[in-house]
Amino acid sequence: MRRARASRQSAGNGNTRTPADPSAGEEWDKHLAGLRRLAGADVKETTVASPLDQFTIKPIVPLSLGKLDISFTNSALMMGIAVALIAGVLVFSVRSRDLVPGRLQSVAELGYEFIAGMVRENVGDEGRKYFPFIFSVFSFVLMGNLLGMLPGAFTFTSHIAVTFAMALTIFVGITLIGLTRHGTHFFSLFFPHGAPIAAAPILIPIEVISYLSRPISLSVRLFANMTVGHIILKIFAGFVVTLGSVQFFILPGILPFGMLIGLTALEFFVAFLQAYIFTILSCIYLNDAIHLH
Amino acid sequence: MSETDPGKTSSSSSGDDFAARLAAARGRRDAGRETTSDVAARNTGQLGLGFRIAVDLLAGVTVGVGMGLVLDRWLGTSPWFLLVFLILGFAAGMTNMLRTVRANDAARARVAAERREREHKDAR
Amino acid sequence: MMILRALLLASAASVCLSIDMAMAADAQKAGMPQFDLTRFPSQIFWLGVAFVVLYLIMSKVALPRIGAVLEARANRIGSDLDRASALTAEADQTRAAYEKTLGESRAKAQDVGRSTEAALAKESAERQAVLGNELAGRIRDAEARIAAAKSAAMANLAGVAADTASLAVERVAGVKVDPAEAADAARVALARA
Repeated sequence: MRRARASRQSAGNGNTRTPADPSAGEEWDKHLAGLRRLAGADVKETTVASPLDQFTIKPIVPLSLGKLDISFTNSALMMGIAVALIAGVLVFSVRSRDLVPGRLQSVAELGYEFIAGMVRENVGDEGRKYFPFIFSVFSFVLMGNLLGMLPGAFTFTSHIAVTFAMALTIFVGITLIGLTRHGTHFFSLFFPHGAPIAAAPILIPIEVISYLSRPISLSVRLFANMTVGHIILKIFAGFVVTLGSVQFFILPGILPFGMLIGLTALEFFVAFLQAYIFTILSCIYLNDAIHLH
Repeated sequence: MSETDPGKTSSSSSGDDFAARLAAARGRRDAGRETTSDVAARNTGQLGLGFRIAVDLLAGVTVGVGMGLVLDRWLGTSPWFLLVFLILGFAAGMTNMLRTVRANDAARARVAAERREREHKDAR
Repeated sequence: MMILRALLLASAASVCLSIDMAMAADAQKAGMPQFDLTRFPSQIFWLGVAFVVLYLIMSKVALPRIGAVLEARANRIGSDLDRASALTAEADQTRAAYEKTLGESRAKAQDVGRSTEAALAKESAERQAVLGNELAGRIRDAEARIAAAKSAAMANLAGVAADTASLAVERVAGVKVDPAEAADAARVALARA
């Protein structure tokens, strides 16, 4: 049953849309038909898909744990590849203790110093203990974002389930660190210094909500950026393919192609920036919990 | 011929050059690397900041609404807690936004100050 | 391009919010695969597996190793830099000493030259003075000798004149002139001349 569904979904790239998004699919088909009419030529079916298809999770090995579906999917595959790549770069490139490092080793060292500096600046010496965790978060998110830039690859950071699970884990962990360090004094975080006591009934709920909103803003920011970036890239790639594949009309494909290159560069930058923001905000939250501003 | 005088000029200039490079290397080691928040301040444009604070606001409102709904369902007071927490959530979102903007301004100011200092040092 | 992206981002964020709310009501109607709740457990499960593996590799193997490499290099570079500055300082000292020596010997050479010159000048002046004195003495002697010769000649001249005159007188007048008278007359005539 599960396998059947998986195969149907993976086969559903061309004409049949995934049952999850009938309206988006229809809209896209209409748009496509218009373009075809405009071009007056036949367009390859398989080259253009809904820009949302790239986010579809496709099971590779169906598995279940009790009632839960924990199939090994394309998302899990990309996570595994990300972990393998990070470990490969960081473990195997740093074999030689040469004075002048090789290229991959330079990358590894640069990443190390970048995150070590971030933790030192934003958390201080107490943050040293959490450096491996912060580093893992950064490298995992960054690698997820960058792997998603490969054509046809799945971006696991474009899924709210992943980003929110990470953000929530970080949030709960940081809150526990704060509670064990400061006990009940930790709750002074929810009352700004120097504010009048009379304002407490309003300020404390606001601060509590603000505090609770951290994992949401953290995860939504990453997820939305990745999703939107990939949708835009897909749409432009669609334009390039649609316009470029029309016979005798190679030229119209060039302009969107140029923009596609620019957008791709921008998305690489965003991939890095979002990993950076996700990590530095984690550091800032950790600092709040350790030092209670 | 005088400009390519091989003996004297090259040896003296390479000596100066070496001293300068040595000083630069020591400076690099002592000063450490540029701070990571500099990278953010330099790289996130106004649009990026705009999106960040939009998410901040949205997150506050979402939590407020969620808490309001839960409390209303629990206490059967619909829609009062939802209303109150919508407002509180909005306020929390504004607080988030304010903090993000303030942190951004601080980072920007620090980058600008450091750049000025560096230029000043170079000028000297 | 950035503006386009930001606009889409903003609209997507609002769409996400609305979908997020709609999702609570009916999960099946959500348009984006991201909100397919049936896919959440597997993603979260594998996220946990992958992240735990990554964290263990990072904290146990990779990061300590990179940290050790960086520390070793920092120490090495630090000591190299220190050594380089020490050597530079030493070189500077050597150069300064060399220049000092050079200057000193140059000054000494100048001194020696100057004193030699002075000594030579003095010596030549002395020699010149001695020579001058000697010459002056000789000149004086010569003048004295000339004067003596002159007066001797003058004295002889009177005798010769007297002799000549007495001879002439004797021849002409045939008178024998007393030589003493002739000498007196000649001396008077010479004195008059």
